[in-house]
Amino acid sequence: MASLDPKSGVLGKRLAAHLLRRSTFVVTKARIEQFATMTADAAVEALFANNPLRNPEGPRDRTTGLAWYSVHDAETKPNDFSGESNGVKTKLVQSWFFQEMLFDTTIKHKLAIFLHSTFIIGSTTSRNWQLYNYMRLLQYFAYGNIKTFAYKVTLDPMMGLYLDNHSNRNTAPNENYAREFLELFTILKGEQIGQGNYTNYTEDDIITAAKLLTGFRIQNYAFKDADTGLVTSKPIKNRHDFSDKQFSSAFGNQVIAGATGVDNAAKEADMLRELQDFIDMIFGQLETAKAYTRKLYYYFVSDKLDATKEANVITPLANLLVTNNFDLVPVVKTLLKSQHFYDEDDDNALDNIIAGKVKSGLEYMMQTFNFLNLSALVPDFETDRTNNYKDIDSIRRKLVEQGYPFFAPASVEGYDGYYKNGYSCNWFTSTALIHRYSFYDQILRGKYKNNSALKLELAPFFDTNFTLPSTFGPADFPQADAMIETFVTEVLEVMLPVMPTGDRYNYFRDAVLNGLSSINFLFEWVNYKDTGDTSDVNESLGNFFKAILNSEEYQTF
Amino acid sequence: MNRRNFLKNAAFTSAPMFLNSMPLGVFASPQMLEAFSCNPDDRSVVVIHLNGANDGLNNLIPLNQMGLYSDYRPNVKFAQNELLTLQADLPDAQQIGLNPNMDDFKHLYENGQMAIVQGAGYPNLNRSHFASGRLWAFGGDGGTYKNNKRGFMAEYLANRYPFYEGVPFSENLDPLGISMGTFEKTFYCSDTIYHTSLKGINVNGFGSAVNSLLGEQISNIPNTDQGSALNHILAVENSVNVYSERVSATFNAGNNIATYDNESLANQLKIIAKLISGGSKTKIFTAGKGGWDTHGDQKNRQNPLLKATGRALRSFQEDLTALGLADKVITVVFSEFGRKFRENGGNGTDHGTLGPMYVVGNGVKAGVYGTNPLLADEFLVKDAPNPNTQLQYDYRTVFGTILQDWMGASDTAITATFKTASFINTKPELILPALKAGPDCQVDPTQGTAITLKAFLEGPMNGSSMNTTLNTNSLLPDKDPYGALQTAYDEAFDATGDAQIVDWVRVELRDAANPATLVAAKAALLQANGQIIDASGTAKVFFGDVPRGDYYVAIQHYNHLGVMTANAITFDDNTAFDFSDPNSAVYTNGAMAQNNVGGILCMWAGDMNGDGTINAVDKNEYWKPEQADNFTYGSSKADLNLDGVVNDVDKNTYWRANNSKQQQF
Repeated sequence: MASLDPKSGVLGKRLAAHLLRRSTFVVTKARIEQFATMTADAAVEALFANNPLRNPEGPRDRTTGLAWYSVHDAETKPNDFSGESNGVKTKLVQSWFFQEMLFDTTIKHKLAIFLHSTFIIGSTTSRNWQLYNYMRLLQYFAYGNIKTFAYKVTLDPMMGLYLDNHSNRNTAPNENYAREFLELFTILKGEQIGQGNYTNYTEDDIITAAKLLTGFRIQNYAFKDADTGLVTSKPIKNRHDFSDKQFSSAFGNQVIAGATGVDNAAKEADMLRELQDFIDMIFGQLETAKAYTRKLYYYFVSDKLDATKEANVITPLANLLVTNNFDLVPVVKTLLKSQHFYDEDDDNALDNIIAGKVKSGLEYMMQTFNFLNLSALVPDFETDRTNNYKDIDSIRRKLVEQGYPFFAPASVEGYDGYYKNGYSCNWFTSTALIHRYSFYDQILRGKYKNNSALKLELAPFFDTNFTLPSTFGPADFPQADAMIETFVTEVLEVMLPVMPTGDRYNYFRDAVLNGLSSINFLFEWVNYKDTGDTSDVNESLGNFFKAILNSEEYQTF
Repeated sequence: MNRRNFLKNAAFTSAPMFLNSMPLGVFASPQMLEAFSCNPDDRSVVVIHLNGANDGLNNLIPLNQMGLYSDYRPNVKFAQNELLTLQADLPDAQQIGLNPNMDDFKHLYENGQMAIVQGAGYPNLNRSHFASGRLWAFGGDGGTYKNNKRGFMAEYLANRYPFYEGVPFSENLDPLGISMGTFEKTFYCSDTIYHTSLKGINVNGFGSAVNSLLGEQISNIPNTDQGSALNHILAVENSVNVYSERVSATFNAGNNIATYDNESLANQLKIIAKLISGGSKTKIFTAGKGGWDTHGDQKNRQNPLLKATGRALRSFQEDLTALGLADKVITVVFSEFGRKFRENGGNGTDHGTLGPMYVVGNGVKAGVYGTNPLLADEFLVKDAPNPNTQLQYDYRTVFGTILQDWMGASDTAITATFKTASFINTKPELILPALKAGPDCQVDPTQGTAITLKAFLEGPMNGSSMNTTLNTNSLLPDKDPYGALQTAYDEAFDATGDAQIVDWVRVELRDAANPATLVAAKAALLQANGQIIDASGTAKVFFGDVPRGDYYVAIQHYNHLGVMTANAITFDDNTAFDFSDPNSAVYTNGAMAQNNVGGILCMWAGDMNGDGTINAVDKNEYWKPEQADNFTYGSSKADLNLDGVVNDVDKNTYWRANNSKQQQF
């Protein structure tokens, strides 16, 4: 019986690792040990900290060091970013956001990506400041209200361009945004129960919604939203359809009155009231709340939903979302504190939550990177502007190869692993495999496209984080196998989601031994400790490292 | 499978040949004179996507509307005297002047190897690059079929090989699809992995690269949610692993004869030709070339693209001809939409609607299909042809023709591919009658007559499993000893534990009405745990040429008595039979068909001459002479316990104990 009842007691390492892997991109041995002593309640609360951004003023000019976005007066949009091309500017914006994610020890950017995966944009190449504006909106609402976000993102310039609502006007209605808003962003398409009737809405509703959404135009850079301080679209009277908007029985035949007003300003203000009524109408349907809780469930918990989970998890969470007037935080906290999330709500060992999902490129890249403390090698922007961007860019660019086209999904449906049948399994494809399985080698050799110096020194890493002796001699021979077992177990318990047993455990252990004995490895190890010469010990540790990173288990979390 | 000989049709075909305009010289092409052996399974299709929306109006300039053309395009137009002439005797409405950079297109056309299809697209055309590209790849349009979620090539392959699970099978060891580009893999979009992507891959070293990256795979998969994730990962690993080696092997076995430019499309086609010449039976290859989004500076951007594309197509065609493969491959070139008739203010053109497709190959009935777009059409939509009124060839009728008349897809298959039968009757006759896969030549879907089998041999039996001495001592051959010409998959003899191979056995399907009649037989591999796996490595023994139905199943071994099911069993998705289970009904003539060894039934050892009876002949004519010789797999028959030695144990423990036993069917 899937249960949202809170989990009690301290987490321990295994569950702490589970929570960190599912909710953040920073999973290190130290953090696992720190969270292991906490209760689920305390741990989740800690994850919702509101830490400052690493570069709060956004991407900065590599030449001047000035913040590209904020140095401009309110009237002009940024355009001088070192004289870079639009394509490069977009990449710099992406790298800025990527850097914030990579160093975010909280759940914030994980939630920001959830919002992005829910309200997809793409085609960003020549739309750099719009992309930045959209990313700030994601950050602004990561701990916020998804209903308010739905309103704000409708007027977001990036979205307006991506789905054409910017050019949707009374004389030439464009249904693109209206359709995706209903079909993909909010209530979702239900079963087709008649000609043009998708249960939750109809084709006529799309036409009506498109009319309601006419006239919101990206006016100029200076036109900012009063709440967020971000650029927003402006209601333009001449472009709006002022008729009353009659929706179908899916929405109780609701009529949203066309905007009125004594003058242009009043009419344009009332256009926003129409938009708000429209949002209220859609969010007034429980199905909308359920759609979001299902998405949250797939995103954080499991690829599999069934009738029991619908009854015991989705429906109560949807009600909670409604009760909280669509604030996401209480809902996500309830989910991550629940017995269900930790596999403790039933005796059924088959429906395991832990390790039941496949890592996306984001988790694979960033968690690996952070676990190995490689992110610490990325120089701060202040000290080394060139290499800061170069390093971040090198890592970010790997994402595409890994099947995660960062902020450039192939279509408005989004990233395969978030919506396609099979969910997270879609992250692991034949194309991604060779890149994912080459990653260990790139880490070891620092071999990135940009010749980044981010390179893992294996022996010091294992020395710092795990237990191996400093001295070893004949008197220790009887303990050699036990020492190796301690070491291997310590590593596997924090790097793999489930501790392997039997032959599989031996496979990982034998990778360390490299066909030789425990005694041999320990001699190699102390030789390294004495001389600093890594050549022998790296052979064994490299085998071990590759065996772990390229294991099927490591792909799951 | 329906592979009737097509000879009779090929020689006397009376299909109308003058439906469309054809260039002179086409009738002299040699393939018209040769008999066509009807085997579309050897054929493949190459799909090339011109990514970014190729401006067709500056490919094929409508000579009958030069005035309006020049008016619309004061800056990006070509003057009539710059154009390449195509075929002077075409009717006015089809008269085309080719872009001066399309000399290689002209060459292919005049060589009888290119069809030009005018006004291609789909209803309610979407002018977004990715949306429209996806619609093409998904067999969709802007109306009824806008929500297709799988690539139409995936739909086609799913219908053709319904049993397919992403790994090679005996009849096709190659990836069913190969994608050279990024977007183009969308054609295979589906839950099952139909394609191998070679984008950015060093094909030569692909196999060894993947091999070196994979660790030892996890073997005990729990029946949990993690288990299903792990199974997915294993499936992808296995698919990439087996196909990467195969792709590298065919690539390295193949060659190129013609010269190609060092340019993106040419490089892709060069790899494809090399793969095919190396024996690849991949059905669909997809490739792409970008840069066609010519909103500005059109002439300087489009002209070199056209030149490069023409050169690549011609090199490819010449290569295929030199390699003797020209009758096996057809290439289709498309772009997601065309551009507006009227130029924009930036010496370029904006997104339009319909455009041309090019179909290239020896099997193509060369000519111009359809007429020039109507520049003066009053129903133009934003300066581009109205896709609902000027649509001449829905792209699905073009691909439908290729899949049906070239690849041999049945009406049912085409219907499954496009989710409607409506494109079948409107197909253009693009394929040369002499090479057309007519109704007699169509390939029915391979239903996958396959079976999970388990049996034990008495000789190597050691209590709960079988000894694998022949394997351990590297005595087992890659090729089967039954003359079935089966080859074991690459890692067959590397398996460990219970999956180690004991020996080759022969699996037979026999007629349901008369089990004495053999329907099909193939060699397969017996594992230590009794599982019999296909030589290709799949867990089920697979008979690609046998339709599903009811059959008796028999197992034979070269020195054990055969055993057969008591009844004909019905083949479906999950057919299985365990000969070692005492509760399984096996055929008997009154005696015990097998030996019960501690509750596991084993086939009797001793029939060295394979005549169905264990008697003195076996001992005297086989065991006696062989015990003195060195053991040779295949010619030594008396090694009853399969330990690689013919000695007294074989005679005393097995032959003597089983003397006078008879096969029960």
